Amino acid sequence: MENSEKFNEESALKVITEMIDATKNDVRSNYFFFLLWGFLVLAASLLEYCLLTFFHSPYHYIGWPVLMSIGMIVSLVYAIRKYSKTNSTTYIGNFFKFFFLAWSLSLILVLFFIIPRNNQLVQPVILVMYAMAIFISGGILRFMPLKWGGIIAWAAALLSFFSPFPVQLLITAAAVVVAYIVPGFILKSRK
Amino acid sequence: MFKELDPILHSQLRLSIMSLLIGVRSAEFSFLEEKTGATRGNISVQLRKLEEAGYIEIAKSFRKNYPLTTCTITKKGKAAFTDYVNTLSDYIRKKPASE
Repeated sequence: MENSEKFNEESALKVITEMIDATKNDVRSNYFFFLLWGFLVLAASLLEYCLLTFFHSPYHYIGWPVLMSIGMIVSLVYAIRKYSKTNSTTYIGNFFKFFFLAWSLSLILVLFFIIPRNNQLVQPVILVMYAMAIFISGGILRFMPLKWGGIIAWAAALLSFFSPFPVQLLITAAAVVVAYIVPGFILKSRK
Repeated sequence: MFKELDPILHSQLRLSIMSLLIGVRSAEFSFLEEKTGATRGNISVQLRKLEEAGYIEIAKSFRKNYPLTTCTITKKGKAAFTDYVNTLSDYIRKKPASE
């Protein structure tokens, strides 16, 4: 790109639009996290439902610590690799970095105190936390499927508060498909 | 009578750089190179001009023993860019269709 003598007002407007658009595209790459956590939560919910309902296993919850730990390690490795390759820092990227750090710590803290006291509240609380993360992400990325995903996850959380534990697991599984996996694939296809 | 467009910004590459920097918190030299498609030499010259005008700040550091140049738009740069865009909008809005 060289300085041109014919650089006029229309060219200037075109340059501004093109360059601002060039910084916008990177935001969509967050689809990886939605698909990763969507599939992990789906697998953990269905696994616990099967172990509890069909096998009556005392270790029906085992999928959660295993799959969630895998999710955290994969997310961390992916984020570090992605960050080391990134040659710009966006305002949105910076916001998400702090938001998801705060969100993850809040979720861990809440679950740490809820799990030993009241198992019945675990799934609805997870759904409330997910709904918040999805809705905020949808708003920041201006991405309607994520906003709807957040609203659906809140509705699922509300339904969960009044449902027995095995049904809560099925509600969670259905909610992550609509709120995480579907928007994740749409986000991926729009890259 | 139209207000004159800022001559520092009214250059294809400098405007490209400023348009990129307005959308990000900070950008490395390689980012500007990748997005503008301009040569390293040309980008360096234009960055110096923008820095001299007080529109950007340039930080030099090292990453894995390689020199790293990071650019950030300043408050003055943001104001100049906003002013440029407003003046440009006036030009385009008031310009006769035949031109």
